[in-house]
Amino acid sequence: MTVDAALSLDGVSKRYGTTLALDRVSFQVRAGSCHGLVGPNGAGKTTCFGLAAGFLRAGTGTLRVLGREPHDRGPARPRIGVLPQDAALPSYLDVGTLLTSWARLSGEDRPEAAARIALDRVQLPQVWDASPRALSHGVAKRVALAQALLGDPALLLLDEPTAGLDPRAAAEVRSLLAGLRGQRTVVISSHNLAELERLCDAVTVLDRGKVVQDGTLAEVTRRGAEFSVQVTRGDVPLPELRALAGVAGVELSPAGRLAVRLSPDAPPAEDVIAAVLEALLARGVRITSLAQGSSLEQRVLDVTGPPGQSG
Amino acid sequence: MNPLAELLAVTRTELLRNVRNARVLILLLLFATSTALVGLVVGLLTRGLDAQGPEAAAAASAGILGFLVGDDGGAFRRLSELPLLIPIVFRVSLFFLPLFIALLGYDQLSAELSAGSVRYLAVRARRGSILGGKFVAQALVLGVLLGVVLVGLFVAGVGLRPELEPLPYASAAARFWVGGATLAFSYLALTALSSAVTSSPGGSLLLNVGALFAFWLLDAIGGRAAVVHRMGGPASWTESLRWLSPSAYASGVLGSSSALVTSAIAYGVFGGVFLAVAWAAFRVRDL
Repeated sequence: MTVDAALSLDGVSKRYGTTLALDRVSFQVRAGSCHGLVGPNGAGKTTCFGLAAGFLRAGTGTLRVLGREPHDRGPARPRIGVLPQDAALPSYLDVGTLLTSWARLSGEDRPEAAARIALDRVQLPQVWDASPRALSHGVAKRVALAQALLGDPALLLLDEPTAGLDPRAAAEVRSLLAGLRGQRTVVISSHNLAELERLCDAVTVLDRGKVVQDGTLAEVTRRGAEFSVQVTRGDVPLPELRALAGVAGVELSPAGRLAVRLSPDAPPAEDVIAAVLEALLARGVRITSLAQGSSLEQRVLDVTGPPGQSG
Repeated sequence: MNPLAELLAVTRTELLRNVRNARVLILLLLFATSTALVGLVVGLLTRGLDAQGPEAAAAASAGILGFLVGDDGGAFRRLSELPLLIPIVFRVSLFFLPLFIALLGYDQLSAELSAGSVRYLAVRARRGSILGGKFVAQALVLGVLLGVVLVGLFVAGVGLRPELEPLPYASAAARFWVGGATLAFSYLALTALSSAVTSSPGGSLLLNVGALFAFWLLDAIGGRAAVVHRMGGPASWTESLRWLSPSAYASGVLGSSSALVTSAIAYGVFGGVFLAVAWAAFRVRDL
């Protein structure tokens, strides 16, 4: 584990009965970063969260959360906040009392004030006296997010924080998460990959319990290694483009997406892009868009198995 | 947060949960009401005995007390100073108390495990504090309930026998409370164990009731063998089976000081074992 890793998994496996949910998973989350955990359903994301939060016991391997055992709840326990994916809020007490009691357990000196601040941060001060039973799914999710913020956690583990939220609420949560960047380490699991692309610095892609891709967002989406141009009309001079300096390969899809791979020893990417665009425009090709790298969604689709094969 | 402060914080929340939970309140009311009803019926019966004359009443009382405390002479003397209503109703309440406790607490952990809400606690508190806090909160509720039932019984007793000396009377109430509370806490620990090792409230209740039945069966088999032996039949190893069941120590709750202490120690041991197993299982299980 590197010194500045907030979360570190080294050869971690977890089995549920006969099902191997995680198979020797290793990755690290840099302290202060926003890290995305992505993959198809059943890939092992929620199991990773459960292990990191200390809810589950790993079968084998080493897991450290802020340098400590994840299930350590002693005086020097890791200060973590967790938004569990499918955990219902307890219905036996009102929201304010629940948050206050959790704030007390999180070590807040003024638990009620801390609970009110947390509820304000998710813009729900009006549900203080409400029963969790009376809350809509989206509001309950934001209350659960509020509890994750109690106790000034150094590491936030958020499992599907915007799932089930309406677009406005989802945007508010994204804005809240964006505001946390740099202040603390945030690990987010989401199927909304565009959202992760906006929020995260690094991504780990899981598939069927294994890490299939891990790195900074630029590395995963190959921002420095390829770019694509959407063309609509004209003859694309493929041989000419392949001969350009710094171009390792060119592919044109039937939908008009021209993907250009850069060679490792290529001149600066901007120079290659300029040369390619010049060649295209000289042949009268119409260009509608240009993007560096692949979208995260495209990369996840590329590195995970085809639909139906995910566990 | 130190473990004690953590335990108290969980206890505080759980107490709030108990006093605001309609099911818990209905159950408490049901227990108090059914005890009052049993008291009413027993009161009518003892009044009928009194009407048959002092000798008949004394003979009937002796028979009933003998049934309740066996050959514990000290307990017999002490209980015969009280209105008969008190030991009978209290003993009947103790018989149903384990089932009542199972209904009261079967979901204390299992419901939270089933809904996943235990994770909100487990991320910020030791699992021992969660288990302990829930146990202590319910033990407090049960302790108060027992107190209320006993106060009601002894107030009714004063109505029946106004000439009773207050001090020995209060001392008897205190002894009953101590005995009843240790019994209740031991069965509450069994309920905590059932709730900690299962993942659904239904499973927890089933396990709890199954364990109560198994303990009752052990006591019944051992008790029957003991009676056969006492009446001149052969000794059997099954006699000792009853001491593996908490039910076997219930008569000590009403017994002499030594019987009460034995009973309290036995319930303490049972409760300790149940809680230790519950903690061992809960601290390593997946949530």
